[in-house]
Amino acid sequence: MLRRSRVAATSGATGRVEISRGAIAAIAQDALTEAYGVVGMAPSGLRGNLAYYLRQADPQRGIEVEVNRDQITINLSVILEYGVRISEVAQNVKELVKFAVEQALEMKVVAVNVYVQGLHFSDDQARAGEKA
Amino acid sequence: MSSETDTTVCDGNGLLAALDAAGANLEHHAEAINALNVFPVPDGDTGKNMLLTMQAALAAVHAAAAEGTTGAGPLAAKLARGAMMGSRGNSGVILSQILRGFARGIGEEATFDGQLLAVALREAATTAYRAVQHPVEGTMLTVIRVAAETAEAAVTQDAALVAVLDATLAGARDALARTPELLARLREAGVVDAGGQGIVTLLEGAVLAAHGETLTASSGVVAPSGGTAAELGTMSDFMAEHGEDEVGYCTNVMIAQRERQPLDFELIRERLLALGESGVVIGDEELIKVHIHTENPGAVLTEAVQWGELDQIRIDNMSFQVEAVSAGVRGATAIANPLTAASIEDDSGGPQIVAVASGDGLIAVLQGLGAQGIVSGGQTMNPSTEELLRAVEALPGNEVIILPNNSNVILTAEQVVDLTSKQVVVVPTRSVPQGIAALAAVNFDDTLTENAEAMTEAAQGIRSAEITHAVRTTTIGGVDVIEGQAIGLIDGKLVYAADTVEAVLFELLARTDATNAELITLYQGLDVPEAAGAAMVELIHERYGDLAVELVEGGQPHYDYLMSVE
Repeated sequence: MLRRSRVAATSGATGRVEISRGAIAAIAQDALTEAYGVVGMAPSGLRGNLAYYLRQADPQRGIEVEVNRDQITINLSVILEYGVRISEVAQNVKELVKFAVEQALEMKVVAVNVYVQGLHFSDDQARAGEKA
Repeated sequence: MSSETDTTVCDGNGLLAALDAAGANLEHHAEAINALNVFPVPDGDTGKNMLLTMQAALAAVHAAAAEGTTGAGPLAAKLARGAMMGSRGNSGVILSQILRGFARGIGEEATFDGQLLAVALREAATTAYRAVQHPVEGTMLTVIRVAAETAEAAVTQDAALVAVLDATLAGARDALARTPELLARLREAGVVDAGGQGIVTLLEGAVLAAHGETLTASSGVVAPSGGTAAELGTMSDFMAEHGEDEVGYCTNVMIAQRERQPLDFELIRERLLALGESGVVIGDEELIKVHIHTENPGAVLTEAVQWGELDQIRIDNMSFQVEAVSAGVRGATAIANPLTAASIEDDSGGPQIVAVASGDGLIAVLQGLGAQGIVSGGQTMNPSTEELLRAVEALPGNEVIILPNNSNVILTAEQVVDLTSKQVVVVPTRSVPQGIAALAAVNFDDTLTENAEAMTEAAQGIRSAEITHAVRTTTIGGVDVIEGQAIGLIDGKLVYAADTVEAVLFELLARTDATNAELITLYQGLDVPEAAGAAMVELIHERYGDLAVELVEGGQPHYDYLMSVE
């Protein structure tokens, strides 16, 4: 049985390279700050909830990295800006994070799962204006 | 911009003309904008994605105009809505936010002058910046912001509408030309930002319309703007040659360095351009992107592989595409220029979704989660099979999932399965909160069956409750109800009646085991005063302490609150 590992590792002729899950999460987090439509992260324990929003305290909150042998899976719990097309932004986020991590590590990311935990209204006045 | 005589303000018709011209200009240049993406980054097809978004926005605004919507403000609101619903790719999402801010800036005004245009552009920039934690400068964000700043400065000099618009374009072009200074990856590749070029291209179309020139997809070509000197050269070559030859194979390939040997860009470019027409070859010594129309794609690949590793090879037979479009295969939206349309295929995968709901807030949430078709209805007015069928048929895709969102609509929805040639699955959601939970589980990469299973499971993962008022005195399921009392339902079944909404709400919370829940979402009804919902949230906090409660303006009729407990 495969044991879930704390590190992603590659071995080559000149030795072994290990990358911690925290380092992978940092790469993902960096990519996420530039991901258009994403305005925050949510605690990942509350998967499946809609409209749950808390201010960001831990920068890597909402980012879970799983490693099985050299296979990386990343789970993201994100808060999106109200008014963006959620399905499209989620798709963009998947591509962006997968690209950033794969480019940095030259390792395969098998899945990026995006959990949209909530929507953020930038200002209520604008929201009221659009409803009218 | 409006009528021939009055150029101080723009009305709804003027706005439509400007938008059409902007869209036509973008259509003409979409492929060139795609070619600006040198590196294999996500959202590589910026031109295509912006165009698909703009086409969706234009379709929405024209549909609204046909149904009698007039006035710049109301039309702009429809435009923004269409852009949001049809946004594609990263650049498309940003464009939709820009249009949303623009619409908000115009507000309800039937016309706008130069001053209001500047206000709307500022709002467009602000809205676009707000949807990202760390805005990157040197992108389309910078271009729209500088355009807005230039417009504001112009108003103080000469507030005439056309003067402000001209200044806006000048500012946008200037900002575009400076994108390589701000972003190293553009500088290294010797190109301007593709999304920024898209914004400039849209503005150029609008400016032409404002000066009374007509622009159609087939005739109008605006000289390319912005860019570094090198980039301008590339774009001009492209424009001069493109559009003349629509037979042969549209061949795209990336050439990457082999074993870190630098690529001889100039030589490779020269060799490849000799092999076909409409050639665009850009890049640097590490990576070269090739786009060329040729009768012999094999020769292009043979040449390219001598120099480096090939990646992202794509060869399309342009004459087949033209025939397919002429035969009407592509549908109505992309016909204006069949040749361009042929190269802009809609590759949206995954199932499409029809959801039943009423209430502006609920509909907005469902649409935001990806429901393309909304059929109005719900608790008190169930939609007909025909209405559902029409919604299914109206979607372009062949695989459709229906969310009935009401136990009385499930059977109606299941009728649709046999009435259409499309593949339809009904996910039996009994309430809108269940429908929302189901939508959040959609994975557009999965098959119809996989999605239906995941959605059914997600819908069952929440408890949904509703609060409304009894319309007559009766006894249902052992519960005595007096006309006018507040009544509570859990998962569609009547469980409790009381004189106040609060009493019912707390009974429902107790019965749904709220103490152990993580989140309560309350969807406030149309007839509930705004303050009442917030007061209700306070009451729940008093009783349940730390339990997270989210209040959403659902806007549903008749039902004071819909509630989900997770």
